[in-house]
Amino acid sequence: MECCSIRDTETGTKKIVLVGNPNVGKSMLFYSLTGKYATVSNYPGTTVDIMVGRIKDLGMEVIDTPGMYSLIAITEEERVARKILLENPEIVVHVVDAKNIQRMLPFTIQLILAGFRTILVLNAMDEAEKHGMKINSEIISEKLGIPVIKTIATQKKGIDELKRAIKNSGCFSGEPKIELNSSLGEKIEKMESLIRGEYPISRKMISVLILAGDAETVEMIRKEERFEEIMAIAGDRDKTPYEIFMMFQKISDEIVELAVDHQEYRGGLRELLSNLSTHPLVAIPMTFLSLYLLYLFAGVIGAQILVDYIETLYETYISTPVDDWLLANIDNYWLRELVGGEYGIITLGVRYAIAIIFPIVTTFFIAFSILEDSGYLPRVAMLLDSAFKKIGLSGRAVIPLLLGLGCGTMATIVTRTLETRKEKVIATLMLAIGIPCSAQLGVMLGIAPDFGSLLIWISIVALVLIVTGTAGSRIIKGEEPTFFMELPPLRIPNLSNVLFKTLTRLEWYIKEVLPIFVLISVVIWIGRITTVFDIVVSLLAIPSMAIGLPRSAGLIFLYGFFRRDYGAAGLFDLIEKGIFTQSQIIVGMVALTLFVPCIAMFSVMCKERGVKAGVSILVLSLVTAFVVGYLTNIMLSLTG
Amino acid sequence: MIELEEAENVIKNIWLAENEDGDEVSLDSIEKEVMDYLMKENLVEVKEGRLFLTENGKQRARKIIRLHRLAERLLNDVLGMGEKKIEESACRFEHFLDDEVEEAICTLLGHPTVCPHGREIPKGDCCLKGEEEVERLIFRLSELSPGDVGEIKYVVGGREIHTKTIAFGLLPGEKIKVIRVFPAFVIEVGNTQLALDKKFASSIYVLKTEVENKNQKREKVKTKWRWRWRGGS
Repeated sequence: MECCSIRDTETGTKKIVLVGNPNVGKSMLFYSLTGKYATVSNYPGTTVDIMVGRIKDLGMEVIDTPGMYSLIAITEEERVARKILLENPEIVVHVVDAKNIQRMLPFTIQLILAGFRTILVLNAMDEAEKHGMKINSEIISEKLGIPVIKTIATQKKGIDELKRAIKNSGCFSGEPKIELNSSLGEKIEKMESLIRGEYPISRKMISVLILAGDAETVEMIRKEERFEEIMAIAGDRDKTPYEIFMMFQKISDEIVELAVDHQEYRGGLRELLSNLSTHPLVAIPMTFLSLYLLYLFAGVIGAQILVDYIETLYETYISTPVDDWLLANIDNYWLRELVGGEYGIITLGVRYAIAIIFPIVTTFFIAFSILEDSGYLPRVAMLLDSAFKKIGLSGRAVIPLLLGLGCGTMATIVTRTLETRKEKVIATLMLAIGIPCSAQLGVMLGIAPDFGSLLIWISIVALVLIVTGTAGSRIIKGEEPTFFMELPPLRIPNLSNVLFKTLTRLEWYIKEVLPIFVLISVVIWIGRITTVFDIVVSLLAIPSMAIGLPRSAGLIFLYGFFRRDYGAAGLFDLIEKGIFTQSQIIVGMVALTLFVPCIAMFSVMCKERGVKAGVSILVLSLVTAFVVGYLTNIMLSLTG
Repeated sequence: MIELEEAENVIKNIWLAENEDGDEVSLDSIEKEVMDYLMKENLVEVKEGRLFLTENGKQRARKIIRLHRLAERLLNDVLGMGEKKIEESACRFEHFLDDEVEEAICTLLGHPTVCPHGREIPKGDCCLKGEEEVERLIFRLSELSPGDVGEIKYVVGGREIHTKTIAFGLLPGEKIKVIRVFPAFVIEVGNTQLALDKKFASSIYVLKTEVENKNQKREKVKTKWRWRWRGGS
């Protein structure tokens, strides 16, 4: 096959782009190809960052893209995916869920028409077979004129065949075998013949996309000499999208008719469970159960058992020996304080990161990954949709908000998956103001003096969130969100998937957290030398005391701005020292939960929503924290 | 009778020019007999050499447009005729459907709001009242119950809804099954389950083909409809 091996055609690194609907196993396939892990999830829309890896034995680069349904982009993720697709990839691998081939094949046809060298991957063949489908991939391959490979990515089946197909894809070069024989064919031909420029996709596909009403494509060819003429042929484009897509669907249906044999299929136990899982009577308790799972992992195992254990180890084997060594060997007080002492890099920065935050975040991510992979989250989204509509969000927002219980920064990035601007702003607002991150949550669960206090804290924070959402949905202008989401089949989470995913998230988190924690130690150190630190702390002590907290609480608010979890860890420290009364603990928990987002989240907020929105949210949460803290204090002192 | 048809075509064209994107109707293009008829019936008036519809004429024109587009829907969705045939027949339908038949068709189709070409169908009394005297075949997805099976006929609503339904493959002709209607709508298309809210579900019009496990009821639906149809015409 050397004659058509792509290595011979050009030099330089070849790019392979994986595209496909959300939740078809693209990321899992990416992992099988490269050995690197992209977030594999059973939830549409969690691949936000683009994963790039290499196939070592082929010397090629592979890019995993966010899910997309067609070449017309609707959501921001789809725009990202399309942008990557237009960057001149060598090969496009279209991954489809084999059992839904009929619905996904039209996209393959679009890719072929656009002029991409395409390989079709029928993934999750095991599930298709369970559904009684027999797929003849040779017929599809012959009809489309491209290689078609069957895989089961979760079991790493078919990966070698795919690699071989990628290597030999040159053999399949040639004209696409698809003919557009509807009444639109003529229009498309006319438009095509008028386009002169060179574009990353074929002129034919450009014409099709214009007819389908895609605004970005119109922009792409605006500089064409005969632009007006082309648009005149396109005519009233409001009517044509359906015709265009039905034309693709028809071509696809004809192929599926020939290549797929359906056998009688009666839903098994899993389908029964799957259907039951959307029944409110089952879904509501299941939702509570899954929240309990999160609590059990992050709150009990993480925040209590593991933190206790690791912190003791850290104190005994690192903090104390380091302090002792410094005292014995370094004469300069400030130099000693940089590394050790009360605020040192090792004794504060690294300790908070490793001993307090790390175990909580790890356990949260394990629990979250289990929920995600089981396919349960979209069901929660469906269940809560009508309730969420009341606060200006659609059920879709469940995901960023739940993820926010892990890390608000990560969750703020994931708000991209929401469709309207209004939804994005409200979700960001709620994340910034009231959704505690896992470290915060874990610590709060750990420091609550009793269950009653925990309930008071939860009720107050929930109330603030509801008020925020309700007010936000009234004030912020924009379209009401609609809810529309695929419900993936329920799957038993694969242990190695869960672990890999947790590791990927942890890697991200540690990279993000550790340097900042060290930096905070340094900043505090500089602040103490210059006495700025003391001034800010005493300034913050004023509102702290106004809401009935001890003077030293000013410090945790300052910490809280650097990182929320850092502030929570600080609160944890103070409470262990026993200087807080029970009602002070509750007020502290409320105020710190509502307090400003951390620096990392603030910067992401500014990046995603704009500086103006970022700063407004910051100020709003500062005011909210102290006002609600004040009210809580009064309420608690009145009721005793 | 020829006069009536031509006169109706004239006021239809004036209406289209005034309300949609039709070309202006010039005074000279109208034959004298037709013009006499229009004036006699108080359907048009002439101001500064240009034709305008009277209040009476506007009402009549809306009715014709409505009949034309309803007929298109009927021929397209229920009888599945080709485009050319539809246009031919609809142009004749518009002149002779009586009120009772008009309401029966409209109700049968579930009071559609747009024609197969996406143009608005002017509302009739029955749409406003939402009468359901005739057994319907076309329903909004939001009106179906769990277990109902049907075929998507058309989707109304803005560009956003269109693009999304297209992306998910909810195209006219696709078979769907309703799994659940609360707390959100869950439907099955092929081997995929989709969840959607009420707003979305009410944009999708479905030809109900089967009530699961209630085949007898389905028979009844059909006979009753046929009988009504004959009775009406």
